[in-house]
Amino acid sequence: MFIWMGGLVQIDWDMKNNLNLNGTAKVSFEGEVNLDEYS
Amino acid sequence: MKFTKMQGAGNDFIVVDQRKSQFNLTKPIIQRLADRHFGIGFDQLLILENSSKKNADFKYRIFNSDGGEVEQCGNGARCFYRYIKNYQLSDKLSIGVETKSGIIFLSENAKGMVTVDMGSPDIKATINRNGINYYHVLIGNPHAVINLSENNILEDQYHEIALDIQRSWKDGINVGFMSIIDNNSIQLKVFERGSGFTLACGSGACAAGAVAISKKNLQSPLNVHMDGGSCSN
Repeated sequence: MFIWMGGLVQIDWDMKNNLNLNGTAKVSFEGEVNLDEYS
Repeated sequence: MKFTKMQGAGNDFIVVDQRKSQFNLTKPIIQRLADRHFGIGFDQLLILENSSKKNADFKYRIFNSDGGEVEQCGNGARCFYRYIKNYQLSDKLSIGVETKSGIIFLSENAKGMVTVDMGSPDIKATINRNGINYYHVLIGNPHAVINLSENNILEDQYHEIALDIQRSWKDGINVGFMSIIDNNSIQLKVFERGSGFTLACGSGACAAGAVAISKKNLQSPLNVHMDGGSCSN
């Protein structure tokens, strides 16, 4: 059984229909910045 | 400005919602925000906006860490879907999203993986650049796929070769270094236009996968291993 981690993605494509990209996507954290400090 | 930090296969992003508030995200500010020592640190910035297109539920724009806007990002698209679901912005199973390169459709499978319909890849030509052969592939954005079994290249040459190929295209190009592992697997390292080497590149994986399947007779589904991690059985 595959365990999906880090940099592994899977491509589904039969060369006739559209290509599908499968993989994980995760929230790491939420934050807030003051853009004035970056201008 | 509130943001959500996300990652897909090690390719990392911040997502900013601009549907109600507009932020002054100029090119220099994006560069400073992307800085991993003095800013938040990310490969790409994803901006959520309302879409005026009939088939699209949302619009998202993609900016590389150098502040340049790009057309497509497969890993970013997956994170975008997760963002929409995480904040309960849509209860649809399949979400239509307007991007710079057209409308793409995002969904989730039974294993909790996000699926991005990337459209049909277009393998334009094989090009030789200073002795390096690569496949020119369009899949929302442009890619140069180098099959390492067809080229005699050392890993410490990757950076120089990627820069040389990028500079040969007016608007730049993403450069992927592909190794075939077996009939269902490849290893890939991608030098992304405007970001440099990243831990993973979704559209780069699609471009390399299209070459591996159509030109090298590898089998679908194809596993693409990148630097963001590995799989175990």
